[in-house]
Amino acid sequence: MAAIARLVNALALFATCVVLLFVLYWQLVRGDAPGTLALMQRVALLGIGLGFLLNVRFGSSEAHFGIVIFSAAIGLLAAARQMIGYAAASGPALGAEMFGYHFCTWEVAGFFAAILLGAALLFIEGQFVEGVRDRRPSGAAQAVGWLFVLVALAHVVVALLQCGFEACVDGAPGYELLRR
Amino acid sequence: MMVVPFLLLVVAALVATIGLRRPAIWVWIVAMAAFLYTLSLRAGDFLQFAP
Repeated sequence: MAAIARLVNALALFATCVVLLFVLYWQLVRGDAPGTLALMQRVALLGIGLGFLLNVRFGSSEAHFGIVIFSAAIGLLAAARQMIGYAAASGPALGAEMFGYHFCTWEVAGFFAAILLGAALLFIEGQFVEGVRDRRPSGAAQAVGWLFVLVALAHVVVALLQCGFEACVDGAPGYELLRR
Repeated sequence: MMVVPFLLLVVAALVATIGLRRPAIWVWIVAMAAFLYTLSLRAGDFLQFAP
């Protein structure tokens, strides 16, 4: 069961990287700059990825799953707030859609799934027997770990370009540093 | 301000990748504190639902 838990952690980390890369693509190629709530959801995604990265790198620990569940709860709040805002607003549809649903709706489902996954993995008690230690993960797991670091770095650069060190303005294309 | 949690989370990921577990967790805690502080600055905005 511990091997299954390790595999699921690595797959979850990879899925987080894919989502982070997709939102980066959507922003840079499709020109859809995120607002404050979307940035909050990205911070939550990075937190979820960090929790799974710790599990992959050091072995499973309740603290790592705590990071995953805490981050996903914050992301769920932000995505739900955005979804309610869209529902309350009248007029034409707001924000980008995928398969007929707004991104924030997908995010609500994704963060909820992350909470469920984190909670479900906690039931595999066998993974905690080995304890946490500095282990050498497999080549694929290491590659996914470094991919996560690079994607996170890319998000920092983009957030820095969009907002600088000041508060982000909702709906603005941003890129304050590029304008200066 | 929103960029600070992003920066700290990257530092946490890097620290974890080079093999330092506890510092990575502490940096994540600081990142969440910075994130919640940033959020508190605009808490009123998020409670407004008027279109």
